[in-house]
Amino acid sequence: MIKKVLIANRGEIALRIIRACKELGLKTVSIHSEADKYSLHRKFADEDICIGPASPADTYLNIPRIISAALITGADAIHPGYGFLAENGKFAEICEKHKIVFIGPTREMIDLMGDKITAKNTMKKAGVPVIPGSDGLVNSIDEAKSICKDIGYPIMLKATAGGGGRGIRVIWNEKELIENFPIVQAEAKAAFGNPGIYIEKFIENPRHIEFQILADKHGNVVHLGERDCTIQRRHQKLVEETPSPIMTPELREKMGEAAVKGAKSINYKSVGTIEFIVDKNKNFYFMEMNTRIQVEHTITEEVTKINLIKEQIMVELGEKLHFKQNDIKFNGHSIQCRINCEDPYNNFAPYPGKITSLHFPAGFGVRVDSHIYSGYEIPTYYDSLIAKLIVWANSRNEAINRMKRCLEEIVIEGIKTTVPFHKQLFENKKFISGDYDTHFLDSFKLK
Amino acid sequence: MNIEIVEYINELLKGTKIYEFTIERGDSKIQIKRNVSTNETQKESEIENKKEEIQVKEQEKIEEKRVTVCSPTVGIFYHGKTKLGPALVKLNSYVKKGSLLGVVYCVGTPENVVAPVSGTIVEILVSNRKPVEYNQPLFVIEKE
Repeated sequence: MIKKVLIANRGEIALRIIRACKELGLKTVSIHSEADKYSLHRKFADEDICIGPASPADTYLNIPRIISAALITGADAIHPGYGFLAENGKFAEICEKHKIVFIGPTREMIDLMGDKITAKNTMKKAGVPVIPGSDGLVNSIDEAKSICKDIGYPIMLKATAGGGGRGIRVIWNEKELIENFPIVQAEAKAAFGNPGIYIEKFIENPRHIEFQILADKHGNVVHLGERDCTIQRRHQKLVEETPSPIMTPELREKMGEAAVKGAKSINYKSVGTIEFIVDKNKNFYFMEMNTRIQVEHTITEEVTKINLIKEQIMVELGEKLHFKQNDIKFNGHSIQCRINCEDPYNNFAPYPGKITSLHFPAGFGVRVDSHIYSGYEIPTYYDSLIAKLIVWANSRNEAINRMKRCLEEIVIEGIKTTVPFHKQLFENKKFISGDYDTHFLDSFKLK
Repeated sequence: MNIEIVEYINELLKGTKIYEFTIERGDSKIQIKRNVSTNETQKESEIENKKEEIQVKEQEKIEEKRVTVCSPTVGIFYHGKTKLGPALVKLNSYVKKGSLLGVVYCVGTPENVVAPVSGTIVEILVSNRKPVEYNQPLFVIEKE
C-alpha cells in the first residue's frame, strides 16, 4: 500500500504528478535544488525538501540524495516523472532494495528497452515490424549487395560509430552501392576511428507516430491510440497531435496490436510508449520504446478521458485495469504545443529569465500544464519547457482554430518563447493539410 | 498672579517633555506653553539614534564573528563521529578550523560536518539523529 509519494522531478510534470496523487488521497513530497527555491512544485506538495545545489548531478540525478530524502520523509513510493532518472534501471532497482515502490517498470524492462539493439531484436522476435537491414556489421561489398537486394532500395549505409545524423549515406541503387561502399568505410574510419558500417532500409517521407501503452501487473495490456510527433526540430518534438492526420481505423488497429504485442513480449507493466516510424506507403517499423510517462501524454488523456498518471499509480498498487481494449473510445482531436523559453529567431537558443507578466489562455477545450507564474525566474540549469498548451476539439480543423485563438491570447513577457514559431506553424498550409514528414521543419522559415 | 509660581512651575518642567501645562484655581488660571519639541526632543532622539546605531554595530560585529555551519547533504544528522559515537562538541566548546563537528548520513554514507573556522560553538541547532535537508544550519561558531 502506498501512502506517501516522493516526486523525483521538477517543473510541470512534478505538478502533474502531485495533482494526481492528491486526487487519489496520497501524501506528496517534493524535492528541490537550491536553484528551484522559488519553484511551484515546492508549494504544491505536502512536504518539501532541499537536496542539493543547482546542478542536476547533485540533485535530480543524484540517486543517494533522492533515496535519502524518501527515507527521512517516510515516502514509500517514488514517481520519477520523465527525463532525469525516469529510464534509469539502476534507480528502479535501488528503490526496490530500500523497499520504496518505483512507480514505473522494473529494472529488467527498462534495461531491455534501453539498449537499442536488444530492444530491436526483442521486438523482432515478438513479431513487431522493425526497419529491415543487416543483422550486424557488413564487411564486404558482396554481402552488402545481397542484403540490399533482399530489403530493396533505397537503403542507408551507416557508420556504427556515427550518431546524430553523421556518418550516414543514402543509396538509391546497386551502382551507387558499389561506388559508395568503400568510400563510406574509409570516411567512417577517418571520422570515427572505426570503419564498421551496417545497412538499414531508408524510410522515405517518414512520420513519427507513437502508441501509448498501459499495462497492469496481471498481464492486461491496452493501447490508448497514437500520437503524431512528426513536427520535430533536431529530434526535439514541438507539436504533438492525436489522431494522426494520416491514421485510418485499420492502420490504428494494426499498429496498436503490434504495440500491445511488443509490450506483452516483455511482460511490461506501467505506462509506456512504443515509437514507430511510418513511411509514405504507411508501412510502420518499431523505433524504440519509452518506459515512462511522456511529455505529450496529455493529448491522449484529452481524447480518451483516461487520467494516465492516476492509472499508472493504480496499476503500481496492483489494481487490474478497469477497462478492456474495446472499452476505449477516441473522441475528437487534441493538439499540444510545447512552449519553451527559447528564441525561435536565434536558432531556438535557450532564453531563460524573469517572467514579468503572464496570462494563459482559457475557455472550452483548453488545458495548460505549466509551473511558471508572474515574477518567476526560470533557472538556467534545466530544460527549457515552460508550458504545455493543449487544446481539444471535435475535429482537427476546429482544434487548429482553437490553438490559433489560444496562441493569440497567451502573454508571457520578460523572456523569449517559441510562441511566434507556433503561431506561424498554425498558419502554414502544409501543416494544415497534414501532409508532411519529419523533415518538414528543415525548410520551415520564420517570417 | 504671582510670577514666582510661574517660574517655579517652569523650573519643575525643565528636562521633561511636557510642552503645555495648565493649572486652574477658582477664577485664576495659569497656562504655560513650552517650546520643547525642537531642541530637547531632537537631542534626545539623536541620542536614541546613536544608541541604536551602536547596538546595530555591536550586533553586526557579533554577526560578523558568527559563522553558520550547514549540512553538506540530505540525511540524518549525528553529533558523533559515527552513529553511536559520543557527541564531538558541546555548547561553548572551542573548535579548531577543520575539526569534525558531526556527520550527516545520506543512505549509509557519512558526510563530514567540518568547522570552517576556529572558535566557540555558540549554538547547536539540530538535535542528534534528526533528519536534515541540504544546507540546513547545524551549528553557529563564534570566531576567535
